[in-house]
Amino acid sequence: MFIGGLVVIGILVVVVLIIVGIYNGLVGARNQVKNAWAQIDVQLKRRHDLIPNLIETVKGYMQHERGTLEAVTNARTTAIKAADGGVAAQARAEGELSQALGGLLAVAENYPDLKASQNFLALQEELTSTENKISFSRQFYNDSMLQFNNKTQMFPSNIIASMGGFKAGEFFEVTDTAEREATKVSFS
Amino acid sequence: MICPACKIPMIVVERNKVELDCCTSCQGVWFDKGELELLLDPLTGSIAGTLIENIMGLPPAETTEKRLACPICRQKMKKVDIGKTSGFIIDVCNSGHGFWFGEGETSKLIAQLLNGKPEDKDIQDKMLFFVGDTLRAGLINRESINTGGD
Amino acid sequence: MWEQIRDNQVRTVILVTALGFMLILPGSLLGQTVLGDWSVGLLLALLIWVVMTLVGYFQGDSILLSISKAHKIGPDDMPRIYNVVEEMKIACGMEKMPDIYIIDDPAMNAFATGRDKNRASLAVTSGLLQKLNRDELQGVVGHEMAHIKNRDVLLMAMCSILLGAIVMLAWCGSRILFFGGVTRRSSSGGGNGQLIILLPAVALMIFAPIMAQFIYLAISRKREYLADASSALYTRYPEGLASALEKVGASTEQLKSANNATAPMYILNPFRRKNQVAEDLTSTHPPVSERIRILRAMAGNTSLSGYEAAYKNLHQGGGSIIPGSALLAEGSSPHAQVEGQASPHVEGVDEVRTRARETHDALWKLSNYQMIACQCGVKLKIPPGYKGAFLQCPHCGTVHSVVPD
Repeated sequence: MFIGGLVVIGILVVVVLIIVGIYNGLVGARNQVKNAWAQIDVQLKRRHDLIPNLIETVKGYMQHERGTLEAVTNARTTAIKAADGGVAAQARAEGELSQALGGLLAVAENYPDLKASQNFLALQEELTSTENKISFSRQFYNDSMLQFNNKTQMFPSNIIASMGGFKAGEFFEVTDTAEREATKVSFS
Repeated sequence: MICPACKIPMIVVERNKVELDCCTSCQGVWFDKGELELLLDPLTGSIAGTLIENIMGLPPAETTEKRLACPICRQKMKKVDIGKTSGFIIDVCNSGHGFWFGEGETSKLIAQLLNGKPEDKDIQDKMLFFVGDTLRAGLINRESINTGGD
Repeated sequence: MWEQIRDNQVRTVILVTALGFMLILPGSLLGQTVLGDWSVGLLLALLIWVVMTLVGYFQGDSILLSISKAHKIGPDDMPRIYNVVEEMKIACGMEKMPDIYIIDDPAMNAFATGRDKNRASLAVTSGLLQKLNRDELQGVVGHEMAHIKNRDVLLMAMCSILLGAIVMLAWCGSRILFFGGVTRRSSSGGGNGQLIILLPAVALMIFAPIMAQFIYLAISRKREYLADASSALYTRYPEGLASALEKVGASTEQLKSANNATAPMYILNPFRRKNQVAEDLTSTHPPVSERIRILRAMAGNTSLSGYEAAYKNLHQGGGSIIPGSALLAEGSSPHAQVEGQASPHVEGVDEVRTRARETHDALWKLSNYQMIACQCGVKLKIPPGYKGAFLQCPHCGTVHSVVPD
């Protein structure tokens, strides 16, 4: 009987360890999601900061493109304000800024003087990279959310999840297909 | 890159985004394989490759000039005559790392240009023209400039 | 992704144990046959291993990087490669940027090194930077970051040390057995009893290093496939890495500074011969053509399960390549499609030249060359050893003054 008792205690210990493991897994996954969200924010802000410099640099060369330049400046202001208005509004505003920027960089192709300017080339690399970083950080956020959601919904971790109050979250989706294309920039 | 003849560091001259290594002491020029590819066909490099192979395949020139070592692999280079009408001896690395033009050759290229008679029939001419044109003002720094006085 | 790391750690333990047996068994047998005491043999074997591990652990990075003549670069030295690495860091969720080094060598290759994620380094050759476009570079960087993330560097380092210890032990053992032990055996009598121990000992001396080598190489190849898959997952653009592998595979230039110790860490076996066919069992890396095919067969499903599917498709009957726990972690839903790929930008002649110049100029600056732009368009780059206060531009004759060191 003593051995029986030991076995029961042994099984209990193992079960507790498994539960703790699952709970920690959930916490870790949720933290990764939070972290990923913060990262998106960092990149979005960085893009906001780069744009005034870009406008200044191209203004001299692109005299007749006032409309395009203004579109970018306005989209930027809207995006900065939208940071307070909730995730959906922010996503949409940032998407529109991506589009406006894409338009500006496309038009810049017609100005060889501009393309030869070292300043512009450096800025172009920075902007390309920032667009990519926004894209990747959004990708990582969605990946992390997927992992977390799987844990909250699949057996057996869903039991622990509902007990601990872990709920599945939303993906940072892009609904407009045109915008999807604008965001993966690749100036090889 | 160290000059194979003088053993001092060479300067780099970039023109039209292609670099040549030049010695200010002896006016020798090293044309690296990578740079030759950039000049002739950046997208595949095959034209440059063929040119290098052809030149490497030429018989060794009969000359008493001392053999030089390749600045990249330090192995002795082969002397070949690539001239069509008159003698033009350059050193080519046996592993195909590039070509060395000694001071006699670079002077000839510059002279050809200034006399208005550069050949322009094939890839080899294109390479030679590039070297000559880049150095048209001459490379050897005159003593008075170097020592900053007199 | 956490699953992968945990899986990797479990595998490390199992492997180390298995390879450890390859060390302990011969060691004990050696001790038994030579000294009549297996425990002494065992202790000696363990001692060798511990010492080598400690040395390897503390010296690791600096040995590798100094062998290869690398310069470390910062964000302003070469913005493009720095940005590419930073983008991959974000995509794979790493906390800290690895140190970035450029190796001054025209051959194309890249490697990652470092004991843990906070002290990792990534090196690329100048040849690679010159010849690959941004997407291709990103594929390669993604592959190397995957090695860091998956703790492959740690895994392979430990294995290679173990392997080294096994080989050394076997070598010592065979010397002792054949030149020392055998004669003593026969003189002290004993006959059959001794033979029973002697024969397996000899067999082990010969086979242990060979078997250990095969195991080591098989592990190395599996980790390479995993790194390829992870790279596709991070970039969502497997064609980038595929195209890069094509270019790198075609180049026949040998990497000058590689040696046997560092070969497994490179993205491509630096010792491969052109058209090498019998690569399967004897190489640290899988054949390039194979890797390219799998990547291209991913056809829009850039998850790890997509890679697994492509691998299975091409290898009827072959085992699986992605650890089961990693597939489980992904969940059953197929991952996001390859996102908005506008047709990849086809590079023009001018862009190739500009890229080459960017790379070279960064290297010149790091080597303290002076850059002088002449009014005729020519750029002069003057080495630090230049003696003279002036330099005349060879194209137009303008005199420029040179700043003394």
